[in-house]
Amino acid sequence: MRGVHVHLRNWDYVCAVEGEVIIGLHDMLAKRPAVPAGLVRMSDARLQVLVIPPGIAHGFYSSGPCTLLLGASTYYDPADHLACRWDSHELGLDWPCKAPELSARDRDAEPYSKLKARLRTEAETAGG
Amino acid sequence: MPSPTFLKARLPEGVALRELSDDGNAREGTEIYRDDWQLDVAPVQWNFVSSRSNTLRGVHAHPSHWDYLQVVSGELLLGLHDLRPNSPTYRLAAEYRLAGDRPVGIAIPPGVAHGFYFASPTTYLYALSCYWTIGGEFGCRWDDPALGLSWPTSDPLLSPRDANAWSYDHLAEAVTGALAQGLGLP
Repeated sequence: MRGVHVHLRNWDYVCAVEGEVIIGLHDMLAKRPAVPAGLVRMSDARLQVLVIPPGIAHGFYSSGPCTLLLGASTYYDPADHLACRWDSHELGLDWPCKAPELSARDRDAEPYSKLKARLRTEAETAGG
Repeated sequence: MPSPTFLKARLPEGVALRELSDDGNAREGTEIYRDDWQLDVAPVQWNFVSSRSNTLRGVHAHPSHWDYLQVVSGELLLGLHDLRPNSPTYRLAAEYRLAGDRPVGIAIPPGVAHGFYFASPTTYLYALSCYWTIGGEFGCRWDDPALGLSWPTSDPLLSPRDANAWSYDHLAEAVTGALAQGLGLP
């Protein structure tokens, strides 16, 4: 599992070129999301690309080996790499795993409520 | 910066080789391209290709666009031959092996003919500096002796277009003509 991450400036462009990935998506910014949170399955059996705009939180889960290509619209910036716990229930993501491998950063990510508050602050600062 | 070990092979002028590592700023994964690397290629299109064992793609040359390629998994033997009459390495042939477990990015200028041979199943990415068109693709027979390339196969899988490609002389003339018309002289 990589995630759950969200950016305020960067767009991601994702393609699974080997193996299979399940991508969880959740709109962090809309007061009433136009599309509910959910999981998308992508695999090398049928190449597809997924474009993830700023504000859409995303996590990538693979049950087996998987190679992902990731295009980014901005250079990597830790300040634009916000995260919350993948298993925060507010995300509404029904992951098909219980105890996935996580990076240290993802394991120690803050809960959903803190990320939401942080995004609200950032949005006000930017709007303000 | 490219590791000096990669530069032992003498490559046609302008061919740029860059070692890709996963310990940069990305923290997750291997960076394969950044605008600020300032390669001479500015991609507008990326393609992902899977090749079966004993496939040969080429030999191709483009009068106007750069290619930038990386192997994702498997191994690619790259054959190069410089067809630019004004190049200091005109007619230089070179071979270079790219493997997925030691990723490099290689940029190939317009006018440098290139063929790819895959001994085992291989996946690779390539970026183009112009959108792909059939008119931008010139080619010759992979086994034309004038290329000076020694492929490790005598009977590779070829596309119909590559199987029926021009002779080396025909390709060299076409590339020289296209470059003289200003379609991509460096």
